[in-house]
Amino acid sequence: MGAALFHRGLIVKHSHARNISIVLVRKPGAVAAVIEDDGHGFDPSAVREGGFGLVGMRERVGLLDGRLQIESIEGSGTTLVAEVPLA
Amino acid sequence: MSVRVLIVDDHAVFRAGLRLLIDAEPDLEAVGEAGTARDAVFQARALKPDVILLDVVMPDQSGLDVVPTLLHERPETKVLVLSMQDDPQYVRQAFSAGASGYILKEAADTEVVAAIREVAQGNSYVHPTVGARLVAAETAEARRAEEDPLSDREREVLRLLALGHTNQEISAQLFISVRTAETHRAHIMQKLRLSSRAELVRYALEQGVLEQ
Repeated sequence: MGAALFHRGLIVKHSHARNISIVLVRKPGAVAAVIEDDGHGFDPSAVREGGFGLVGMRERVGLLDGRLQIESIEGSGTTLVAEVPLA
Repeated sequence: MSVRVLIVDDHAVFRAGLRLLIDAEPDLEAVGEAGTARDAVFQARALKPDVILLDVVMPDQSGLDVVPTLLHERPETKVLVLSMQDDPQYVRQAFSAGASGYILKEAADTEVVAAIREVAQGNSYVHPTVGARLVAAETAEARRAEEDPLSDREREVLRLLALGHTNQEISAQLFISVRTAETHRAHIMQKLRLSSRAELVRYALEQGVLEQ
């Protein structure tokens, strides 16, 4: 799921990450993919529309009635959590 | 010169017994008795004993509470605690209050004389069984700290991270700031020498953190 939703190349390209960690978590009634990199991070509030491919990801998660959370601190990597309800 | 001993215990019969044991030794001398913690302070001031045999449980206050006063007034005095408690925790309390020795009342008849000589020479004395228990307790504690270096709070943060929660969610669940949650995470990674969430999840699974 992580691979389908998030282009690995996208993370590497933008963040200069050396490691990516993907954790799939089964929650009550949902499944979440927690994807983290150890790249340089960014300020999520300063992302321009359409930048970083985040809009595309949000759309794809939205199609599955899921939600996408992004946490990033400049200088210490980025965490993406895509949570999708199980039918 | 003999070692001068002050006997402090609220039971007169027990004091009399100790006095007999002490006075039977040529190098020891029972110079006085006190039945309360308060009286112990007065007697110590008047008699200036070398060693104070001090009961813990007394009617006015705990013997341990007056140890700092006794030592403050005469730092060269040695305090030998007489206790019914063989719990290592009490031994620690006694020593951190400033006592030099700790013996059990049940073994007082056989070891009080040796214990008085030890502390009078500036050494420490602990009842052997209690001492062994103290060492065992400290070893177990050290081992636990080595195996699980995380604090309770960090363990809780680790659990939530392994369950896939974001820093934001963790901060809301634990009523802490996002920044504090980030700091906890950084400390956990550092302590465990891990570098990614995937590794955190593996650690949490191995340690059974998720079963709590």
